[in-house]
Amino acid sequence: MGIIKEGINGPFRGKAGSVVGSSWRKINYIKGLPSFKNKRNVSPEQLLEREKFALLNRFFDPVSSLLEIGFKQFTGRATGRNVAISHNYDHAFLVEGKTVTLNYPVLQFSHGSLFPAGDERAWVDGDRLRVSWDPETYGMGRSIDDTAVLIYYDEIRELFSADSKAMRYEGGAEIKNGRFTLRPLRSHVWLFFVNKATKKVSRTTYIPLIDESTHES
Amino acid sequence: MKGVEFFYDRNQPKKKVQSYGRLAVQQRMRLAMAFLHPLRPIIAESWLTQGKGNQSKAFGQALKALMQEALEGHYPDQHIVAERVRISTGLLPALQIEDVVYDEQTLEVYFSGETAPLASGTDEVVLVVYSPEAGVAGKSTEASYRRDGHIQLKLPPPLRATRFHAYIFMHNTRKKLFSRSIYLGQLGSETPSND
Repeated sequence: MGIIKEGINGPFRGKAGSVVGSSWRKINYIKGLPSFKNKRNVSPEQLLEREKFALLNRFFDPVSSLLEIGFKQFTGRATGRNVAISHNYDHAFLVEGKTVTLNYPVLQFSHGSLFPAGDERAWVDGDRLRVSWDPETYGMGRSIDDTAVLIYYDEIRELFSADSKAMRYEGGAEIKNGRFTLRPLRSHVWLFFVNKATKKVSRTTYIPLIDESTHES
Repeated sequence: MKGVEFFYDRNQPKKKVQSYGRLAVQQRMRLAMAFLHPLRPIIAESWLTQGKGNQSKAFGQALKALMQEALEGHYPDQHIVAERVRISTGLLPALQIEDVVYDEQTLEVYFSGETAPLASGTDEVVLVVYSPEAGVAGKSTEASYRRDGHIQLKLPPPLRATRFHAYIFMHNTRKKLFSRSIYLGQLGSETPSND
């Protein structure tokens, strides 16, 4: 039975007649009881939207803990994944006819005022993914002790790897995994920075993988 | 200011039709915030006197000045005139710019180093480069003084392939007195120029 917590006009929890009251992240909800009366056929546009939503939701699921860091500034009344979907939804898809795929280079895992590094490069060297960036701070918007969050995604095997140990001043990071030796390799790498107090983050930079034979170390 | 990303400017359907005036003011605020926000670390110092020692108030004063002086056009085509933006303000005498030399990686500015009763040779010169579209800025890291007549800045990599604005200003050794910033122009790789 529903309990009215703050007087007659206040929010309540539990079932009261045909509605259910609940609360999540300090937001009070009143929901109708589940009903299954809608027997209309779903329009193609609606199906497409559902597919897009499911695709993005599935993609972000394994990295939800990173999204909590990347979108921390906006997670007062939503989860990091909620905010990431909202932020990316408008530009995250490539639609060809009825086929929907993700536009990986434009995806953002973070949003904030910290400045990205620039000069980012990524290449696979044996069983290691190596990434380098410009370690300088240029006087503002960056600190040498910012943590670099590196995200790797194997599109064929649908697997993520991540690393958040390196600092900005180190100018590079690597992830070791036997998966990098497998071929074919269709990979995507993203990088963003978090300041020491974990309050500020940078925008995410997509780093295209370069051929290891062309990389000059 | 096309290309600047507004995270909070989502196209949410509104229930009530908002008045023209309100929409225009909202857009002015968004444009001003988007332009000045990445420069907060500089403005926190350079407008501190106007903010009466409070960094938030200092930013508010800079925002107000930008909205009053540097916004042009009518809604929905309002835009910022970067030349009129003041990233610092104060009574310290400014410099006389003699030459701006730009190449792909560095920006050099030559200026007159004349001293006056209020202008000391030990006043520190600060050079700032900023691209609102890329959301990236940088400032000179090596100390350069009014008496030196020259300042050099290494460009951050994201600014080497895009157009950016450059400003110069100075402050005294105790960072209590600041000069009004001088706009050096829009530079960049698309149309290299020596203003």
